[in-house]
Amino acid sequence: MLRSVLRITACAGLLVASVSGSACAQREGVNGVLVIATGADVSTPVPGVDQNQTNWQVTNLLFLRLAELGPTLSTVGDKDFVPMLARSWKRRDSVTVVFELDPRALWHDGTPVTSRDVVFTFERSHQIPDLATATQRIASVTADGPTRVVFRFRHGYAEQLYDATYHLMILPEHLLAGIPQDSIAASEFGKHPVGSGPFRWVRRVPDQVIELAAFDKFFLGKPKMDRIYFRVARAPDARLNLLLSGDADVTELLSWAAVQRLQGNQEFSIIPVTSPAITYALFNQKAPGDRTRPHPILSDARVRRALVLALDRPAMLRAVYGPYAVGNDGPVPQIFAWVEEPGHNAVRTDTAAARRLLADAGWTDHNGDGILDKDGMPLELTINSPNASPQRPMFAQQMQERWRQLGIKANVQLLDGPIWVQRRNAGQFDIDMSNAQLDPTPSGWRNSWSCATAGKPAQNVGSYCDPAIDSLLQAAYTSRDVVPVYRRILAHIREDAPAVFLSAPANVVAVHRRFATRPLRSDMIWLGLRDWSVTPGLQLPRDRARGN
Amino acid sequence: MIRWLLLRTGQALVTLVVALVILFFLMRLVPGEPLAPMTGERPQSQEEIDRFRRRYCLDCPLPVQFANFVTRAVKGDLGTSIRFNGRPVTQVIRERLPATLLLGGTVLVLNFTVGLLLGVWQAVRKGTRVDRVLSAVSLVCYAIPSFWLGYVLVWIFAIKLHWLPSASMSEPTLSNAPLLVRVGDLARHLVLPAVTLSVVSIAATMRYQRNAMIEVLRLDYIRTARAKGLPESAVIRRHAWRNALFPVLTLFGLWLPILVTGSVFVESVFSWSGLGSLATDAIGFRDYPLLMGTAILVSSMIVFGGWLTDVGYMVLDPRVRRR
Repeated sequence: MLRSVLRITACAGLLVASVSGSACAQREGVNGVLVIATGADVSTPVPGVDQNQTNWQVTNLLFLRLAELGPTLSTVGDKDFVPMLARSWKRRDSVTVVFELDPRALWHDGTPVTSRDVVFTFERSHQIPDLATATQRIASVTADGPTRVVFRFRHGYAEQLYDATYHLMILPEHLLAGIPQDSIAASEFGKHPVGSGPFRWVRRVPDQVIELAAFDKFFLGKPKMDRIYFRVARAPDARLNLLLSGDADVTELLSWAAVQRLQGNQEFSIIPVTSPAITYALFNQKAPGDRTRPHPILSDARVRRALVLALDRPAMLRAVYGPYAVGNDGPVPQIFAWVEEPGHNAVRTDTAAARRLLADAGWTDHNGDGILDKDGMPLELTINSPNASPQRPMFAQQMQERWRQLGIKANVQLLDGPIWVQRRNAGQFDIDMSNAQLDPTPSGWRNSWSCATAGKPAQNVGSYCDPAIDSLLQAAYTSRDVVPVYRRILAHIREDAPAVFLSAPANVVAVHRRFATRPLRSDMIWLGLRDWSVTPGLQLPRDRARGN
Repeated sequence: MIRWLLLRTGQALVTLVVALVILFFLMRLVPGEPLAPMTGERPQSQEEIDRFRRRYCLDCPLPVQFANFVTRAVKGDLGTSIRFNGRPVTQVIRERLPATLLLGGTVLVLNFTVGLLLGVWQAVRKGTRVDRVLSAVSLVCYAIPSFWLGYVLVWIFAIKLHWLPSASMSEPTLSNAPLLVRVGDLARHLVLPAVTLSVVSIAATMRYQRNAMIEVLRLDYIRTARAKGLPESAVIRRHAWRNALFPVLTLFGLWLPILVTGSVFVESVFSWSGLGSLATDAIGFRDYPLLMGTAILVSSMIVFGGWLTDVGYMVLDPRVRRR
C-alpha cells in the first residue's frame, strides 16, 4: 500500500517536472510492438526530400529538432516549446538565441550530435527552396564549441524560436556532407537513414512495410515500443480490414463511414485529434483562364458573401464528417484554436440575407427560368473537385443543391487529380474544392491569401488580393504580439469571403485498446510514440517478438 | 522455319517499337501536370516547381524529351521516377516485379492446370448432371467482379474466421523467422489474392477447354482411335486433348501479360504491391518515366504472348509449320 502511494506520488511529481509528462506512462506500461496501417509508402525518409505524409511521419521518428512545439502548438514566443536536441536556450538579445545541445545526444551510428550538425543542417536548407524561404529570417547559425549553437535573426519577431526549430530537423554532417541534396534519394543514406531520434531505421520492403526499432541509447530514455511497423495499404478499406483482422493496431484519417464500422468493436478506441487540415470552396476572383480580367460573377463581394450565407454549413459537415469536424469561418484549422477570438461564433447561415445580397448585386430571375440572371447572363458556376477525394465531391454536391434553391446553377466537375491541379494552377475554374494542410503558424496565410502571391500556381490560385491583408501580414512579420494582428486578418478575410470555408476536420485515429497512449500531436500524429506502452496483461504474442 | 521465326520476331519487335513511340507521345497529350499531385495540397513556391521541372526535363521541347528517352533506353536506362524522388525507374520496377510475378505466376499455373483439367473432365462427361452443375458454377464465377469477391473472401476468412491475413504480402514481425516459416507466411498471404484472381480466370479457361474438347471429340479420327481399341484415357490424352489445346493456347497468349500487369483492383484490396498499382500510380502522378518503364514491360509481354502463341501453333500443328 505504502509502495503504491509512494509510486503515485513520485509519478505526480515527475508529471509536474517533465514537460512531456511521459515518465509515469513509461513506468506503468510494458514493452510492445506497434503495427500502424498507413496509406502511403516511404520513399526517402530524410528531412527535406519528400513531403508525403508517411515520409513525414517516419522522418519525425528518426530525426529530432532542437525543440518541439508544446501542447498548445502555439508558435509565438519561447515559453511553449519543449526541449529536444537542445536541452536549453537563452536569448542574448532580441535577435540572438543560443541553444545548448544535450551532450548525451547520439546519432544512431553512435557518433555524438554536435553543433556542427546544426550548422550543416542550416546550410543544407538553403538548397531546398521551400526550406530556404521558411528560414529566410535566420541570418546565420554558428557553432560556439561542440554543444553550443548561436542563431542570429535578421530582426526581432515573435516566431523566432519556431523558425529555428520547426523547419530544421538536424542532419548528420559526417554522413551527408559529401552527398548533394538531389542525390540523397538514390544514396545509401537515403535508403538507410541515420538519425538521432527515439527510433532507428531497420528496413523497408517497398510498398509493404517500414520497420523501425527503439534506439537503445536514446538520450531521453529507450522507448517502450520495441518495434514499429508501418504497413502500407493504399485503399482505406484495406487499412480498415487490417485493423479488423488483427493485422494492425492503429490507423488514422478514418472516414465517418469507417468510424461507424468500428464503433461496435470493443478492441479499438476512436480518438479524434485536432488537425491542421481545412476544406474550402475557393472562389476565383479572375476570369477563368484569364487572370487579367475580373471574374464576371465572383469578383463582386456581395455575390461571394451571398454564396457563403446560403449554405447550412453545420448540416453539410455533419453529413460528411459526422461529429468529427468543426465549422470554421476562415482559413482556421483546429490547431489554430489559439488564434481565434474566444467565443467567436464560427458559422452563420442566412438565406434571406443571401437573397437580399444577390438582389442588391443585380441578380434576379428576369426570364422566369428559375435561374437568376443579370444583363442576360445566368448566374451559373462550375465547381471543380478532385475525384479521388472522398469528402470534397460530397460537399460540392450539397453546395449545388443548396444554391439551386436560391436560383444559382452550379455544375459539379469531378476531375482526375493532375487535371484538377493543372486547372487550379492555371486559374481555370469558377469554384475550386480545395484542401490544405497548414503549417502550425498562421504566417503561412501569406502563401494563399496575399496580393504578393495572387495568381501564382500552387499558392494563391484564386488571385484573391486585399492590400489591407498584406499590410497586416507585414505587421505580423515584425510584431512581437501577433495574435491581435492575426485576428484582424481573419476579420478581413471573413468580410471579403474569398472562399466558403467548409470545415476544419479532425484526424480520426483508431488505436488498439492495449496501448497506453499519450495525447496525439495534431500535426505529427506519431511524434509521441516514444511515450507509448502496453498495458500490463494485455500484451499480444507479437508484443513479445524481438528482432535485430 | 527459321526464316519464318526470324520474320515473326522482327514483326514483334517493330510492333513493340511502334506501340512505345505512340505511347510516348500519347501520354504527353493527356491533360494534367506531372508534378500536379505534389503541388496540390501544400502551397509550393514557383522556385520549387521550376526546380522540379528542370530536374526532370519537363520544360524541354517534346522532341528533346523523346531523344533523351531513346538515347537512354537503348542503354537500358529508363530514366528516373518523378513520383519516387528521382530513383531509377528500373530499380523501382525491379522492386515490384517479384510480387507481380509471384501472384501472376500462381494465377497462371492455377488457371492452366485446374482450368484445363476441369474443362476436359467436364467435356468427357458432357450432358451429365456434373457437367451441368460445373457449367453453372463456372458461369457464376466468370460473372463475379474480382474486387467484390476479394472483399467477401477477406470478410469471411480474415475478419470473421481469422484463418488468413486480410492484406499485404507478409507478417512484418516474422522478418527474422526461419526461411520455412517465412515461406509458409508468404503462402498464407498469397491464398486470398490468388484465389480471387483465379476464380474468374479458371472459369474462363474451363469453358474454353470444355467447348474445344467437345468439338474435337466429335471428329472422325477420334472415332477411329476408339475403333482401333485404344483405351479411353489414351484417346483423350494423346489424340483429343492435343488438338483441343489450340484455342486454349490463344487464351494463354492473352493471359500471359498478367505475369507483369497484375490486377489493379486485387492489388488494391489486398495491398499486394505489384506492378498494376505502380502503373496506376504512375498515371495518377503523370510520372512519364515510370509510366514508360511499365509500358515497355507490359507491351513486351503482350507482344511476347502473341509471338509465343504463334510459335506454339507452329510447334503443335504441322499444317502451320508447312505453310
